[in-house]
Amino acid sequence: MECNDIKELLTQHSLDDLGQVEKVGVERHLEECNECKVYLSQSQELWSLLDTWGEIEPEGKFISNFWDKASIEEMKLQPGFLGRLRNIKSNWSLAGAMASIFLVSILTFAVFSPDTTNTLFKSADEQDELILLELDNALSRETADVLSIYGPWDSTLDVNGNGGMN
Amino acid sequence: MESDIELMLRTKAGDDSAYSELMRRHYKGVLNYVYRFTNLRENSEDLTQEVFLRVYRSAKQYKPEAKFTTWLYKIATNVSLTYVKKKNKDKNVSLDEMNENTGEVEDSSVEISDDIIYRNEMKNVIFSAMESLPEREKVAIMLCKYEGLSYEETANVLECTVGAVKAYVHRGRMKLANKLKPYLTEEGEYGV
Repeated sequence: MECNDIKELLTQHSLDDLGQVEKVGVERHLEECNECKVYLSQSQELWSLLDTWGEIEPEGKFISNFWDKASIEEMKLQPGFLGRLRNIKSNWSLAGAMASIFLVSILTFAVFSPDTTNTLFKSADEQDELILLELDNALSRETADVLSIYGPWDSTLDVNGNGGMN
Repeated sequence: MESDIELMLRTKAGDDSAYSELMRRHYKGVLNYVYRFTNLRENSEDLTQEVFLRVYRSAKQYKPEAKFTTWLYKIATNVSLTYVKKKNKDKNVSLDEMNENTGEVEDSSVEISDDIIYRNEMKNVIFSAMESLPEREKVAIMLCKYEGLSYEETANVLECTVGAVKAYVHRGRMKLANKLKPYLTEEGEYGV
């Protein structure tokens, strides 16, 4: 193995993460190669130096703080009335679909609903007719009253006009 | 003891106590992992909460295909890198703030020992050296060195091959050695 190959394996060697064959190969190479021996020594020293960057201890309330934060987040995620409204507004495709359904329903209703126009006119006509009859009766009574001054009328006048003035 | 996957499946079924147990097991590791990206204690606590919130929110979609820690550290890596990118963009974090929030517990009434000064200095030096590494080399070294993940687990987090992880760690290690040469006693030159 070349020096570069050995150097690549030295990290695993220091972690005792090499197979038996590789381990023997690395150790044999280290016995003969001073450059790799220095590299290994520096490498181990570097690893120890990195250990001087010690760990920090978490604060004791981490888990309870987490659950507090989680419940706040959950509240934020549940939209209120305005939030729901905003969601509806922002969902243009849904709004378009709803509008299309609405228009189609109106058109379908307009085309297939029973025609009630004549019925409306009939009832209006009946009312007009009654009013006209009433008016006609009133006029007839008034005319009869006016003509009564020209003489006695035979009140026995029949329906066919027989009888009359004496 | 229940496995992480079993606890996660219970969480998926709506058992919050299982999730509390999962957090109890892993929050220290995640906190320190995030902390090594930020070097700010205060932000690290918040970002760790964010990591666990994301995991909790996606619990409904959880499928026990990979190791739980792989999934957890993948989310932690994403959260941390997003934060670092945003921070580098904003450049709002002053050096003073970084030095104030070192995470070390210091009592002002006690005389600061040389050891604390040395460790504090080393922490900032290592942080700067780590920051100068390419993203994948930095993540690979952090996961393998500090979080004790295997190459295979690291490969799952980074979504690459085990061979690629070995190369990232090797290259990152050589670059770190060159950056930190003044603090190493052994003589010799690292080629990159």
